[in-house]
Amino acid sequence: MMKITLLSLCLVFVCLILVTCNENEVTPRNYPRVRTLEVSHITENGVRLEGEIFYPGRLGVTEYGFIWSTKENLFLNYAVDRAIIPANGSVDHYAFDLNTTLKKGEVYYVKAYARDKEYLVYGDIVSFRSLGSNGPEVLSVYPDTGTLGDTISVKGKNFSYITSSNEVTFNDFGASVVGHSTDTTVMVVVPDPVKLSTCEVKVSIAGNPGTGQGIFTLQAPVIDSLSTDHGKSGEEVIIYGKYMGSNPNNVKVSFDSKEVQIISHKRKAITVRIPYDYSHSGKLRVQVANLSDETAFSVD
Amino acid sequence: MSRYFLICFFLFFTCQLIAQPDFRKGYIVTNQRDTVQGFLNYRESAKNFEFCEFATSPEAKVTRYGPEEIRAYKFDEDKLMVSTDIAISGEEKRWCFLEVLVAGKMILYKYRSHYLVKDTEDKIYELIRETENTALNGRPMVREINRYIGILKYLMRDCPGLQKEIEDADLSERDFTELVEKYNQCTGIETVSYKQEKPWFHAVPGIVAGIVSTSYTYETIVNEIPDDFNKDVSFSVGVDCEISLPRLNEYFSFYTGLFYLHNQLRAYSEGLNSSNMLYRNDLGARFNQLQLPLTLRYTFPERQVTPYINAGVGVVFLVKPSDYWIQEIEKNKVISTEEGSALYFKKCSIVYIGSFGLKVKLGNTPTTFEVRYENIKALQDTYGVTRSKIQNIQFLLGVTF
Repeated sequence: MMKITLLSLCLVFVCLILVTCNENEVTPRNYPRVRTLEVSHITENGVRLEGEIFYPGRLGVTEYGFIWSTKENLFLNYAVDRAIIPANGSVDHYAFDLNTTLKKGEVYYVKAYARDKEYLVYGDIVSFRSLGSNGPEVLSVYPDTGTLGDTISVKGKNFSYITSSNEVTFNDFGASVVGHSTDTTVMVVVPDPVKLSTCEVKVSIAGNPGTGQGIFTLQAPVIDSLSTDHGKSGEEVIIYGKYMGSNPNNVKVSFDSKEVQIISHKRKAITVRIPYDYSHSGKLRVQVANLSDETAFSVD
Repeated sequence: MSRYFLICFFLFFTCQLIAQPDFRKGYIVTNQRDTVQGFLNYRESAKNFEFCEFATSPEAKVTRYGPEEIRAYKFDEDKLMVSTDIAISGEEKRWCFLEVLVAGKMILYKYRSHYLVKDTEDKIYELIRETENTALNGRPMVREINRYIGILKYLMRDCPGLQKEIEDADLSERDFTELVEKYNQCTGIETVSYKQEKPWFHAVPGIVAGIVSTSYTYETIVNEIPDDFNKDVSFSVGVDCEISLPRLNEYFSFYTGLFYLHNQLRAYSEGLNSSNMLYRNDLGARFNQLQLPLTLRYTFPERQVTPYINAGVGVVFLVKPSDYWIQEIEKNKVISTEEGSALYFKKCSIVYIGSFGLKVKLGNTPTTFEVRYENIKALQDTYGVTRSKIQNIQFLLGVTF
């Protein structure tokens, strides 16, 4: 009898240990439940973001990831950086090595998020002080030829979703970043001061220089035809061609070295007025940056 | 409502149990010096000094005898009560029963909390301690006068070896019993202690385990925090010890031990917040209770199944308490989550304990079954919490050694 009683007590003790080892029970929801874990591996090369989807929801997670910014008001919009991870099967604990977009000494806020077909769910906010990070990497530019003022795409890795954070240079001349950036694509306008025909395109973020570079070739203007090959002083002539610049301020049209008035500037057509007091034949020249093309024209 | 009903039921049940007589073998000595064997109702109360209840057999009618009606009554291998006409502590002389603690050349009696000794000349002395208000250096003070020391020194002057022990003796049954026993032995006359079969001190260790249902309630002025926690059912284990002084009292004992409980509690609430957005709150707490109870136990007269009740307090340590508060706010199918803490546990608190149990012998194994209620104030009075308590109801199985 003593043995039976002692065995009963041992059984209760084992049950107690089992109960003690149980994890917190998760309250079910219609939507996924996500938790932002503490940021780890904070180094001068970046940090590790970690999240946990502790309940998958009714419909299953389709996408998850992180958003981060220097501002506490964090939502998935164009003003925050993000890491988007498409869901492929079930996921619980996940991590992302963030090695770009971080400025040394700055306090950042991060949220994990998860999305299903109906809901977008954010985890709690977690902050950390950055020790800096690596820069982005440029892989290519598209198109790789064009003229001043053209908008081109810079392809690469680890760009910032915050458009203004991406600093793009063409041969060290700063270029305007336009449109909505992603971590792989930045839209940029070929800057006016570029003079050389071949440009190195580089990207840096938050003072962190990037690696790699894209080569962009500035094309010389090409005159395909004229609306007329002769005319009188004061008459208008249309120059048809390509690579004739996007901004009329960067384009010069001259007739035998005398600059002529541009009346209108289109991508493939420039209308100029024949200078007064001219009555000879010469060369009509279109110049963009240091590159030019010319064709014969006679003034009656 | 149900709680008050339970308390009333418990009190009624307890009163019924206490009222149960405890008839034990013994005898009475009539005024004609006849000894009548039978059964005497055993009590640990002052009523022993006023009357006894006697029956010649368990089925026979119980008769109550006062001190003028019989000369003495005695339980087998237990206390002897003799009737006498005596004035105690300045009161008028009257008939009562005195308990004979030690018999011999010197006899030691007990009446309620008074102790008396009778010398060879049949003179009775009361062993008393008095206090008087006096002054020392002009300042009032209370002086203790231990008259019993002087009396004993005088009465035991023929055993000088006991003088130091008399000096050290306290006004207690144990000290007087041991002193009178030694004196009688010293004089070479046989001494009898009627309760010598009972030990002065008795400790019964054991191990206990059981199921515990824990509920947790608190009131807060913060509306959005849920306060409707689930009941947690888990297990508890512990070691315990019942400490009694059978020679002084058979029914009352002290109970202590060390118990471990693990708890995990959750609460949920949802509603519209002040911005008219839907919120959902999950609140949870995990902690381990390490309890050190110290209760007074009353054990009813021994039967095959002997009931007992416990009441007292204890210290409870909440080991590694942790809690979480997850608030989710929904707007247009977008959920924002905030996590934090809402409960600030005390690391140490007082637990109030009340229990009812049964002592049973399963085979040769002394076993206890007990239902125990515990009430603990668990939270600090901060962050809008106005009242909080953890309540345990334990169903325990114990084995004593």
